[in-house]
Amino acid sequence: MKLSEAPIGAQVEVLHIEESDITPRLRGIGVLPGIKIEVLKSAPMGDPRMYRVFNKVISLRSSEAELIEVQTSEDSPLPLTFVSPGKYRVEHIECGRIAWMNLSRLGIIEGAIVQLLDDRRVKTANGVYDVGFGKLRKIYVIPCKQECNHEIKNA
Amino acid sequence: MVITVGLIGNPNVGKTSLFNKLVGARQYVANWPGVTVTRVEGATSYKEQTLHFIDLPGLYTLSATSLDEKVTRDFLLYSPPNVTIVVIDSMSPEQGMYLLLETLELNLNVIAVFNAIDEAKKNSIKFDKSSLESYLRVPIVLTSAHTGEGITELMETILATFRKPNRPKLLDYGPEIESKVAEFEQYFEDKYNKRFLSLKLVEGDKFAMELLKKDVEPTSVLPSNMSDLAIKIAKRRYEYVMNVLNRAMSKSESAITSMEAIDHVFTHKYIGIPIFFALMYLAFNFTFKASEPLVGLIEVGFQKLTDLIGSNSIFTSLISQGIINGVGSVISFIPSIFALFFALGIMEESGYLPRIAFLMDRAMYSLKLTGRSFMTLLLGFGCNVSSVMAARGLTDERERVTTILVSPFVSCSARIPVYLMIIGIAFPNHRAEAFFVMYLLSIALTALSARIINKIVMKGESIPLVMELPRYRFPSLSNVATYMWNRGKHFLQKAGTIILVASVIVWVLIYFPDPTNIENSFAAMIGKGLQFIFAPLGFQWQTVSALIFGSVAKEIIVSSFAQFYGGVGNIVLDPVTASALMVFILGYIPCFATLAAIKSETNSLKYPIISVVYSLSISYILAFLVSIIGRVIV
Ligand SMILES: Nc1nc2c(ncn2[C@@H]2O[C@H](COP(=O)(O)OP(=O)(O)OP(=O)(O)O)[C@@H](O)[C@H]2O)c(=O)[nH]1
Ligand SMILES: [Mg+2]
Repeated sequence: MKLSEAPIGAQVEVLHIEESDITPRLRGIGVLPGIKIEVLKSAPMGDPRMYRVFNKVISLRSSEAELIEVQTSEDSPLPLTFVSPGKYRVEHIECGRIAWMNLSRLGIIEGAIVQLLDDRRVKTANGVYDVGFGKLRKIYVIPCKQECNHEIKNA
Repeated sequence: MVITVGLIGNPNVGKTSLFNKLVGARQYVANWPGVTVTRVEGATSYKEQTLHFIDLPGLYTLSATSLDEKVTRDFLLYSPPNVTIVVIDSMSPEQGMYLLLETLELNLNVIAVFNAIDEAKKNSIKFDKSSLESYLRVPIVLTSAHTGEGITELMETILATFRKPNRPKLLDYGPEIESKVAEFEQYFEDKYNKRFLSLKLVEGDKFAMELLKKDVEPTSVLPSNMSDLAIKIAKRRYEYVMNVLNRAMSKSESAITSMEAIDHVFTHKYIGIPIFFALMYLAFNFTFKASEPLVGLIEVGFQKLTDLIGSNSIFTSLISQGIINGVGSVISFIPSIFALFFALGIMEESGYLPRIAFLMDRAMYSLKLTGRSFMTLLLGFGCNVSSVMAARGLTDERERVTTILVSPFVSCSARIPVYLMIIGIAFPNHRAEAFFVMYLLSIALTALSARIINKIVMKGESIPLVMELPRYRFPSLSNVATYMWNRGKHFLQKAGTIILVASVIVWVLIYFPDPTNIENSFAAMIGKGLQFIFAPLGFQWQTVSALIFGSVAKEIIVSSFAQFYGGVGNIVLDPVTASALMVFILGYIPCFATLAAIKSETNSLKYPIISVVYSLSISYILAFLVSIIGRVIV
């Protein structure tokens, strides 16, 4: 995946950088294979975006971020639209108060275990729901380890 | 004995703040990267030694690309100081330590300073100084340029390092790279630091290639897998840095600060830009409103003084008309200028300025510029010379020249007195609105000019932008006051020098040859002689003469008007002519100081000439349009 395509909120690890005029400066800032980068936020119209490298925040245009090949770090939260079906733990939900309340009523709340089904519906402790793309995008999850290997039981 | 001490480091880590603390100077400090663009020197004495400090532009790597970075690299390479201080930001030490490792290759006496230690303490970041020292093998000083912590210790360390040089070689880059470095050393002359240059050559540095011996062809010697090697070198440095920090730094989990919450709003996808314009409106409104009562008071004071002295003899006329009325009419607007600098100071000190660059970057695509140049241009609201200078921080040469050429259209604070005078006469009931419209026009004209210049003078592609967004800092009143005074006092100096001289010259041109009737004066002759050019715009001879005198510095327009009419209060201008006049003044010619800066920064006469010709024509056309449209409407 290219850095310009990494979802906001994700933490990614640099794999490879294509050489260009600005690579010396990027290397100086620490954009190097093996280094982790956090995608912070985007400017109006999606470009440029803010990234955190170590503890410095930098702004990069997509045309430059495209030259950086990355993979998502293991422990990086990703939006539900970005992951393959399976079980996940909800890390954080990036939305307003009202949307958050609606989601929590469905059982989608920070710390809850949810399962993304093949048809992109979400199975929670409260049932199976179709929450829609817009909201899926706001729900950041990390893959489940052993602790949630049991079935999600309906309450 | 003089000890020279160079200050280098990443941008915005506090090099200039430290410099100011060390030598008691008041150099320009602000919370965005790239403030210092030239070397600044200052001396102080400590324990009977003279310490000569050199403050330098910031950089991330000695492989410099922009002009300001090259200043620093050339300084270290060609005139290495006795002691080099690498300033590192305690809140993000990794990048600073990378630069430190790079600098150590230069075989200099190095001290590593971890600055902003006050902020680190607040965020529970702790450094173990002795283990830093043992891993990095250079003296370490923890400082705060704000609280003054560590400054005396730094002075001591400088003396000690000077007396007992330490030149550690730290990193071994492994056989593959070390053998290349050894091989490349033969390609450089003995007068250079061979190891440093050959290492830079392995990193693919363009500058190192230029310094190769005459008979060496870069393409024939350079390895094919150079970018791999460059990455290996950089990784080796960062691995070392991370290892050292793992052992020598402790930090607790960071909590979301209130500043991050504020940033969420300021850089918001949708409301970020509207907030910026709202803040601009507030700032200009503040400039206008905060200073208004004071401006009025000073005006009245000067008026009283002129009346008291009278103008019966040649001597009293010179004093009351030439000096008090001429210079006073400009001085009375100085509170407005200070108010504007107060607002700009908050913007620069808080860290909001680079966020604007981030927000506006996309909009600048179409002008083939970057948000960084938008930010540079904003500085021009203070003084156009600042933005012409700050353009050095732009990596791309085409972008830099375009930014320099459009800088004069950003309405600088010297134009405030002129607008306020004209607005006061022609739009007494809509003063704040008219004032703001001038600023909107200024932005539009700057954008239009960038478009035109990109089309005609320089053709180019869009360019990359890598910009650091510094953390927010709460602007302290004393910092902002210092900033305001530093920038504003320039106008007081101007009033005492160039404006005073020009006012006296204008007085001479009015007083002779016929003191009784101004219509027969030399000033009137000049104005009437050239009036035909401005006839389509409806300008009187007084306006024409004032514009000619004002080409030196815009404030002189006010001074000339005041003298022609015997006081600002007596001037008459109808709204349409006044609008055309303000539009003309907005662009018509960069002041001498700006032209000189354009010449020295572009190192050619071509650009100042282009600037004069272009600005005269565009403002004439615009003013003409305004007067036609105005006459149709009114
Ligand atoms: N809290 C705190 N702030 C600091 C300290 N030193 C500098 N600052 C702030 O950091 C910002 C940058 O300071 P400068 O001195 O302009 O930094 P610089 O390294 O000269 O920056 P460039 O010239 O742009 O490379 C300003 O807002 C300073 O007020 C410090 O020790 N503590
Ligand atoms: Mg500086």
